[in-house]
Amino acid sequence: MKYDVVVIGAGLAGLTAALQSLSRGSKTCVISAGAGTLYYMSGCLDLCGKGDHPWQEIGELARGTPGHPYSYVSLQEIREALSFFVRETAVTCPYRSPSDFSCNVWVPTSLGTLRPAFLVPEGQAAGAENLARVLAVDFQGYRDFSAAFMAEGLAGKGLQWQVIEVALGCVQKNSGSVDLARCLDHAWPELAPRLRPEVQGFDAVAFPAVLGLSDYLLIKQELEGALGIPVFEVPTLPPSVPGIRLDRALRGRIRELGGELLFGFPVRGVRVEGASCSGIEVAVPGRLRLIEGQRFILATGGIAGGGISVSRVEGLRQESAVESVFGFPVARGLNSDGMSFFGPEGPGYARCGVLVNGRLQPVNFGGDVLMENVFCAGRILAGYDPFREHNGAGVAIATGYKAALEAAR
Amino acid sequence: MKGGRRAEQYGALVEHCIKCSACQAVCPVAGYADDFPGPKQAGPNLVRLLKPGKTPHPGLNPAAGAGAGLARLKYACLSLVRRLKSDAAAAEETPALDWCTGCMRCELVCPHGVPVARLIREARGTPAGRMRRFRLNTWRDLLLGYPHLWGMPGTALSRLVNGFLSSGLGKLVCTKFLGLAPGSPLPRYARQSFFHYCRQCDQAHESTVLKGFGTVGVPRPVRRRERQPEHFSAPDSGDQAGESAVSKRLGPNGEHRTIWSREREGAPRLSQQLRDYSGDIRNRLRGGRKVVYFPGCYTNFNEPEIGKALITLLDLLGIDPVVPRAACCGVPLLAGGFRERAHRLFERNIRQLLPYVRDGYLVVCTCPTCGVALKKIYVEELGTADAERLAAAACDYTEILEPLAGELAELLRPGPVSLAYHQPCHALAQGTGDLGPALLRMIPGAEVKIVEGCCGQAGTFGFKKEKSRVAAVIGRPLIDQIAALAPDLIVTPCGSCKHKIAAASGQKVYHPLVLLIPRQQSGIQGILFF
Repeated sequence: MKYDVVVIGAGLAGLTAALQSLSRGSKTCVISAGAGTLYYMSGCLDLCGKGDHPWQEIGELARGTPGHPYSYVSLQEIREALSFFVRETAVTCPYRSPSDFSCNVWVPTSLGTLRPAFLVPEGQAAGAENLARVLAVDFQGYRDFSAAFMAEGLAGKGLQWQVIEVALGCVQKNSGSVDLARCLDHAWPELAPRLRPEVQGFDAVAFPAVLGLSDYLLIKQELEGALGIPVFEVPTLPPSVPGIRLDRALRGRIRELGGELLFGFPVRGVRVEGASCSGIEVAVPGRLRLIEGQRFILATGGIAGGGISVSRVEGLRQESAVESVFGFPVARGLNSDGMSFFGPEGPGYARCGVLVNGRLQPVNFGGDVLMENVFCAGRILAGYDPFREHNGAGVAIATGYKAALEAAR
Repeated sequence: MKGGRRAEQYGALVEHCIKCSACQAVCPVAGYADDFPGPKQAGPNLVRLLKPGKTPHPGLNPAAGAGAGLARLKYACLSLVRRLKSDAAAAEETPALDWCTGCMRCELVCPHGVPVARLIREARGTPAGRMRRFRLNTWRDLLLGYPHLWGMPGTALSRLVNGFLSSGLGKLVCTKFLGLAPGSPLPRYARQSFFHYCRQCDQAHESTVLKGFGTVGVPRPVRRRERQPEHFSAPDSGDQAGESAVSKRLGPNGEHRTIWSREREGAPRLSQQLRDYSGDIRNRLRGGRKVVYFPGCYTNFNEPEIGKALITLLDLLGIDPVVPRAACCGVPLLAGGFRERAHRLFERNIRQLLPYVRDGYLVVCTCPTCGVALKKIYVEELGTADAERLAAAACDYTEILEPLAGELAELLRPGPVSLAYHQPCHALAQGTGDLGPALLRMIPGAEVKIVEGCCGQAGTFGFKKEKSRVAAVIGRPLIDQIAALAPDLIVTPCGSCKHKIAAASGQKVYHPLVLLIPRQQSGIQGILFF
C-alpha cells in the first residue's frame, strides 16, 4: 500500500498533521505503537507561558531562543493551525477559546490550583469563568479525586467551593477515572434528581472530568437543563477522560476523511533510498509489514512518548539518546554541553530532541538535511521545554500543521 | 524449560505496565460486566499479584502431574496452600476472568507493548482459575469448543440439525440444558461442508474444481483467463518440480492444480535450503505462488461460499490453493478455558501445516480469528520454533491480495453500492484491519464506510447464556452506527461478527471476498450476485 503521507505517531502533533494532510486531499496513513500521550493530558491546550499574554511570549521565545520550534512557525501559521484544529474537532469534541484567541484563561485543577490554558474543551469552559459559588461533586468510591482537597486549595485563591458526595450504584469501591466515566455513560440520569435539591444558591456545579466517555456532550447538556445552572468538569489525574475523548474525536475525524490508521504496532525498520525514506516496516504479528509512502511525518513524541530512546552508556556516567525510528542524532538541549541528561536543572532532559531546519526536516549538528522527505513535529523537536514554557500543545498543533503543509509542498 | 522461560518473560512484560488505564478505556466488556475488573486489573495487576516477577504457576502445572496420583495430590495441596496463603485476592478475581473475550484491543492500545490479553490468559491458567473452571456449563463450553467435530455431522444432516435447532424443542434443549442464550440462535449449517466440496472436486479428476458451484446457490464463476499478464510466470518447473511434498494434479492444460491432498504418502520431504520465513509476502508470491488455504470452521461448515469465493479469486489471479484437512484453530476451546485441550489442537494444526510451510507455502486464512491464532496465539501459547515458522507463513487473505491489487483491479466491475464495513477485533490485532476496506474501495463506485467498535459476539462469548446480555449491550453502538448509515450492504470478514450483526440488524452480512469475485457470465456487469 503506497501513501502520499505516512504519519508516525498518534499524539496531538501526529493526528493534527494527519488531519491537515487529509484535508489537502493526500492519501494518508497514521501508524502508532499504541495510545499516544493524549491519554495523560488534561484536555486543556496550552499555547505559551504562565502569564496572560501567550502571543507576546511566543514572539519573545522565537526571537530570543535560536532553534526554538516556535521560531520555525510564523504567528500567522500558529493562528491558522489553532483555528484549523478547533474546526476539525468542532462536532465531536468542541474546543473553546474563552478569550477569542487573544489571551490565556485560568482553569481550576483537581489539586486546587489554577492553571493557564489557551483552548479549553467544552466541558471545562464554564470552569474558566472562575465563578465564586460552586458546588463541587465527589463520587463515593472514586479513588483518584478528592473534592474537599480541591476546595481547600481553591479557597486559598479566593474561590469558596462547597463539597457534596454522591454515591452511585454502579461505582465500585475502587474506581478510576475511566471506569467511572464508562459507568456514568449510562448511569448519568441518576445524577440530576440527587443534585437538584442541593444546587440552590450556587452559580455552577463542578464535577471531576468523568462525565461520560462517549456521551459527554449530551450528559452536560442534559444536566445543565435539569439543574438550571452551568455544569463543568475539572481535569483529574491520569488517565485523563478529556484526553481520551479528544483522542477518539481526532481518530474518528481521520477515519471520516478516509484516512487509515494502523494502530498498535511499532515501527521496526526503515527503507532508505539515498537521502529519502521509501517505506517503513511495521512489526505486525508474524512479519514486518511494509508501508510505503512519498512523505513521512515523524511525530513519535519525546522520551515519555517513545520517540527518543535513552540508554545508559556502560562504563561512563552518561546517558545516550537516539531518535528511535530513523536513528537521527538527538541534541541534548541547547547550550547544555556537559550538563547531565537528568540533571537538576533539567534542560538536558526536557530540551533534548531532533534538530530541524525551517521546513522541519531533520538535520545533523552541522545543519545538513538528513532525510529529505521526513518532517518532524511535536515533542520530538529539540530546543523547548514544555514543562517550564507551558507550550506543549501549542507546539504540537502548530508544528503538526506546518509539517503537513511542508509535506504537501 | 518452558516454565522458566515464561517466568523470565512475564517478569519483564508485567513491569512495563505503568497503569495508564488505556486498556480499561478500550475494553469492550469493562464497564458493562460488573464482575469484570477490566484488562488492567485482570491482566498485569493480577499476574503480578500471583507471583511477583515470576511465572504465575511455577511448579504447579497440573499437566505435569496429571497422571501420577502422588503428583496430583501434591498439586492439589500446593494449590490449596496457595489459595489460602498468598493469592486470596487472586482467587476472588479469577472467575471474573471468564469475561475477557480475547479481543486483544487492550494489547493494541497499550503504549508500552504489554501483552494484556496474553497475561489474562496466563492468569486464567492458574490453579485458582482452573479449579473454579469445572463447574457449571462445562459441557456447554466443550460443545462450543469443538466446532469442527460437530460440523461434520451437522453439515451431513444439515436439514435435520437446522430444523431441530430452530424448532421449539431444540431451543428448549439449548437454553434449558446447554446454557445457551435464548436470543441468539446458533448459525445454520451449510448443506455441504467446504471440505466435502473440495473432496468432490478432487474426485472429479478434472480441472473444473469449481464445478459444484451451481448446486449451492453461488453462480459458477469464470474459468481462469486465457491470457495471463506477462509477469504471471507459470509455477517454476525447474528447481521446484518434484521437490514439493504435496501431491499435485495436472489439469488438462498441464497447469498444476492442487486442491485437496487427502493423504500425503510418506513423510513430506523438506525443501533443501532453509527459507527465510519472515520474507515479505510479495517476494514469497513471486516464487511460485504456493498457497495453502486454512478455511476455519465457519467457512467450512456454515458458509462455504467464502472459501469458494477465495478459490475463485485466487484462480483468476493464477494461484491454486491447497486445502489440507485441518482441525479448528483452537481458539474456541481456549476461550472456553480448556487450555491443555486447546494446546493439543494447536499442535495438531502445526503438524498438519508445517510440511507445507517448510516447502515454501503461505497459509491463507479468511477468518480473522484463525489468522490471529496462527500468527500470534500459537506462538504465545506454545512458544515453539515450529509455531513461529507457521506464524511467519500465515497471512490474512487481504495480505495476499494486496500485492496482486493491480491484477485484481482488472477483474473488478463497477457496483455502485454503499458498504458499511465492520473491522473485526482480530483483524485489527493482526495489523491488517485497514486492508479489507482498501480492497473493497478498489471496486469502482463502491463507497466504503468503516463502522467502529466491537460487535460483542466474540466467537462463542455471545452464545453463552450468562454473557448474552452483556454481548448485546456491547454491540448496540455498532448496530446503531450501521442503522444510521443505512448502507446497501454490510460487510465484515469475521464469521461470528457476521452472525451477530445479521441477527441484530436483520440484514444479511457479507464477507468481503464474496463481493470481490466478479460476475462475468451474467449480463449484468455488477459485482454482486443477488
